[in-house]
Amino acid sequence: MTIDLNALRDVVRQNQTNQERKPEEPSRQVMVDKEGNVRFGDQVSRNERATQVPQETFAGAREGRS
Amino acid sequence: MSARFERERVAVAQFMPSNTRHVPARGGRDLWIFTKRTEVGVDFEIALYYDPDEQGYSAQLVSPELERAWQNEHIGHIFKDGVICLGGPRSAWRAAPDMLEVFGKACLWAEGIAVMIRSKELSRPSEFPFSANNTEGEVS
Repeated sequence: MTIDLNALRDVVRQNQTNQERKPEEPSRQVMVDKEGNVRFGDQVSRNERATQVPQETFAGAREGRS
Repeated sequence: MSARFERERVAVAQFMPSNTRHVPARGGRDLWIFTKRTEVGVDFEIALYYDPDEQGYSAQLVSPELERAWQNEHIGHIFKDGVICLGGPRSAWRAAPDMLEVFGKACLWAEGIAVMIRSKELSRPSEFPFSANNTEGEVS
């Protein structure tokens, strides 16, 4: 399974800009499957074990940048 | 075995890579070390552990060694001791309560740093791609 890294960058940055920690729309969810592969939510089947990545990731808080 | 260890063991078995291995406590910390293969073919070894001082889970890079200039909370989103900066409020940069969320963040971070590594090899340096705070041209 591969993911389009440019599309991933765009989705992650947009989610951060919108301050959406865990978007509900599957195509905007960033997931990590059991083998550590990063995928969008609409690439993960319902019965598959995967972890949703919170989207504040790597975005700085108001009191400082990260 | 502690209740925490048992919870971690179950989470690892269900949600983390089959290559994850447990390294018994050193300095009071049980390490869970996994290998993450990125889309661009750079492998990372990352350790997850509960840090009682931070009251949460941290992800620490084991290998490979990164450019010194990238070992920075802003540029490479990693502290000088190898702990991956998780973002969010400053109090949560080094640790977060949910082990699996930290696992997920570590995997996304690895994909971003791998892009920086491959870009550097091609003499076309890239900023860290997965943070709205990083901008083009900040890495030389």
